[in-house]
Amino acid sequence: MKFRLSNPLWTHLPVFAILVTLVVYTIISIPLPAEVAIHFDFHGQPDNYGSPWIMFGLILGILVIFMIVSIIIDEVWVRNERKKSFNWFCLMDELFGGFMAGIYIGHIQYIKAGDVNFTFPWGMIGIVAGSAIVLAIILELMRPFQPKPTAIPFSDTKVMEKELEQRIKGNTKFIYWSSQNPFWVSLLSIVLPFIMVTGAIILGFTLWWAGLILGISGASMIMMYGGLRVSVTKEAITVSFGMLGSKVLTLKTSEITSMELKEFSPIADFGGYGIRFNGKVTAYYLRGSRGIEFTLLNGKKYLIGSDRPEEFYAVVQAMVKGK
Amino acid sequence: MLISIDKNDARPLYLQIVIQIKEQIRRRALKQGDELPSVRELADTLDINMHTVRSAYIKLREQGIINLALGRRATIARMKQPENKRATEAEITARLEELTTDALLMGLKTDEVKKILNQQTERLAKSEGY
Repeated sequence: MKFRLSNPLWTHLPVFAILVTLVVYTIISIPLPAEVAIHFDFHGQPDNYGSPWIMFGLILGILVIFMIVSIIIDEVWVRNERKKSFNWFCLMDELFGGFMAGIYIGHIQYIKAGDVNFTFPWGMIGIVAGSAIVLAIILELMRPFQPKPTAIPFSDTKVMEKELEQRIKGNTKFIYWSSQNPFWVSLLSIVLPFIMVTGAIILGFTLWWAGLILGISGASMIMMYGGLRVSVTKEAITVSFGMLGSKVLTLKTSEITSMELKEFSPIADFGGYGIRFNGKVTAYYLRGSRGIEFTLLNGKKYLIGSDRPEEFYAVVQAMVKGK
Repeated sequence: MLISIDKNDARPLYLQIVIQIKEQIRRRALKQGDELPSVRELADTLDINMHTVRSAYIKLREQGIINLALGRRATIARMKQPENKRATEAEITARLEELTTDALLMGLKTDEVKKILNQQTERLAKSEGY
């Protein structure tokens, strides 16, 4: 299957323009001294020296990472869009990219001027980030809305229900088990904590409390490893999460009043993935846009995402009927 | 994945688990990388001994059907195409021989054994999902 982007790439032109500007600005600023001040204290006094090309490589790398992250986020937004809406996330790369580029240009100007103290270039940041954001807003307003293709209807679950009813009737013990463990969860729970804990150790030498906070946050992210697991037994539907399989939701089958197969939009309806609450429904899912919404005796609503919602639905139906 | 235990079934409990997992892989209700419940979870829910579940998982691992490592959850392994078709055929023949002998010893006739085999093969080929 050919991969196609739903969000037009031209919406990322402002950050691309920042990138080109930086490269051109660096080229016209050549020659640069072999060693310059690259780090400063709160008073603008230099406290570390190095090659200006380190700064150039760093800024270029950060901009490219922001561009890639922004392309991914905007793509997810567009794919989940039900009606044309303003995607505020699209300004993220211009904001951060503009900020970093402003500092970089201010730094080059500082090198060229040969000053001792570095003044934080708020003016330059304002010009670069401001113009990029204005352009990004215009492009975002121009972005066409692409309605999603009609959702695939849920298939009939009656035959499956009947088969399952036969299989789990009477005193037969059973468990239905499904899990959602997408690649990004493994990535977030391994790579990010590794970076954060490494950062914490380095930071710990100078700011122990910041290192401690970063270290604890990083270590706690490891707990996400393993994703979301749903199990159905005669007594309850249980959702557990993470490495330790902590139970995050238990729905007693006797308390369920109704259930419904649901197609939802992770971004538009719940603002992302994971354990979410939108004011009406608490949702549990890590991927996809399908699941079952349960209503309990107390009126509370819970949505549990599933890769095989029909199967999940049929099991719960068969179980309720078979009781 | 759905596992049910029928205590009226004459087959050993571990074998019921093994057969159901294999059957769901065949029906593609389970695919490579899918996670299985932990031994404790399965034993608690199905109200059976942990050793029974462990035996089932070990049997599945021996047959290369699941990946099982200490401290990690069992997952469905990558299904390999038989490297040696003749060896596979020989293994199935040996298993069928044992079953057929049992059936004949129990008093079934050759035609009846053939009929059962045909019915089972057809039933399995038709069934999809659960």
